[in-house]
Amino acid sequence: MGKSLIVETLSAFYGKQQILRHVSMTMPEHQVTTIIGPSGSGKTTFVRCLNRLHETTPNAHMEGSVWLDHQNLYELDPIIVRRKVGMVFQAPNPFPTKTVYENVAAGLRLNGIRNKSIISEQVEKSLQLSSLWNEVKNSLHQPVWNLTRGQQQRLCIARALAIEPSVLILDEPSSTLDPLSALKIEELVEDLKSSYTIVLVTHNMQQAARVADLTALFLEGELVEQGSPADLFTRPRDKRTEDYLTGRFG
Amino acid sequence: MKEELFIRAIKKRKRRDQWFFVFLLVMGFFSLFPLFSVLYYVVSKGWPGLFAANDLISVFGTLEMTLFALLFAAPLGIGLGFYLYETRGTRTVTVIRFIAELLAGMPSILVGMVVYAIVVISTGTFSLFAGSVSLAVFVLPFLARETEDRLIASTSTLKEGALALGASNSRALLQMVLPVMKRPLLVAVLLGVIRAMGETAPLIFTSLGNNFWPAGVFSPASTLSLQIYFDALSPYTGVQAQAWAGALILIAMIMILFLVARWISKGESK
Repeated sequence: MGKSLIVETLSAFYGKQQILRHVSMTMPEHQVTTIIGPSGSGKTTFVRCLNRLHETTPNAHMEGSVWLDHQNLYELDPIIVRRKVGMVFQAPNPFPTKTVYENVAAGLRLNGIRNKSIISEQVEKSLQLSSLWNEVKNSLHQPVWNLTRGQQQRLCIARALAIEPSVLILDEPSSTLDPLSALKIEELVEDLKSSYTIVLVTHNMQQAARVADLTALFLEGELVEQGSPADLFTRPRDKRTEDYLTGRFG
Repeated sequence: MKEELFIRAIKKRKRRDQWFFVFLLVMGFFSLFPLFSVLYYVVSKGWPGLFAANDLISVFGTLEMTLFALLFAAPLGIGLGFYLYETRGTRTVTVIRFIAELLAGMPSILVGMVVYAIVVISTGTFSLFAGSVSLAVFVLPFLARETEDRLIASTSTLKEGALALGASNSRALLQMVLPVMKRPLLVAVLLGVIRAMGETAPLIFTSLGNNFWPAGVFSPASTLSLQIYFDALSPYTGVQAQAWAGALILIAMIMILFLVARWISKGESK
């Protein structure tokens, strides 16, 4: 399932304001790539370019290319792109009028799948993958607001997995959760990387160090440095990385 | 010695606090006084004139006219609201929003004049239909802005959630956003109804008023607001009583709608 994601000279704009400047990087398959950087450094814009959500914002556009499995995502239909590149948002955003089951099934239904046995099979599998199954298997048809925020976020992960993407983007998925729920998400990321290419945006450098195979630092819309967390955190090559890590920046 | 100074300061502050509270109470009383006197007047003067045949005609006129108006205005206004929300930030929408704001701020009598010139003249008669059109034009910008505001308030991450699952834009809106928006939009429509119900000025040129049951959609019809306007101008006390009765019924209807709207938005927060 997981496939490498290759970004070439990606620039993103809101109106005339340039948010990202010529970013090129590879997010290898079956690895966790974490994106770190201060607020406003373009982390979120970067990942929103990967599944083409960026362009749904009025006046926003991007230049460059993103390759997945020898296809340029910017030459595909954005709907197909978003099926291949799943996304989990900063704050849990389950569909509030739908049940637990229907939330996970939503992606399948939105993509026109009607076969009930396929849907329920897929719902169970996705909930297992997001290690939520044991907690919700007896309340599948309950409203989602009965779940805790941490559970809601794992439900959003299950929802994203149900349509079997190759890449899973997580945009600061645990920043609004309590430490224990955050830890669960981290463990989950660790489990999922064997079958997906994972891109994780985080503020939290400890989190980046714990889960990442590859870490990239963004500052003011530029990719400053990338490498294994061990290298980047202990032997930064760029002066700006060192400044950021020691707190002299951002 | 020092302790005493503190206590004196605190006492002084408490006294000032009390005076300020009295001031607020007086201000509150003076601002509520006119409201309550309106209510008292309307109830006491309107009660005796109730249950006259004319009241029923006007009640039905009001209901029919606002219902027809909403038939035009609700889909258009909500649709325009969604359009404004979807395309916000672009130049055309800035212009459209400006026009909508202008329309919302326009004296309603102008709406009546325009609808007179277009609908009444072309159909050759004052009518319930023309009245509905003018009320529809009157509430349309209100509904559009309300829809847009409520969309912005409640759904930005929701729509993206659906888009991220590979939903098309229209599916994301219809299947994920609209179900969540049902209650807020219903409340917006009710508030629109309340605004339309009390309008008189645009109806004078379009629906004219009628002391009898209208013969159909294309004949003049009365509403409570028109009944109040025309009967209050009458020199006869019996007819004036009709105006008070109309006012009482109108206030009661609006109050009920407000309560319904509040009840609906309360359920929403759950």
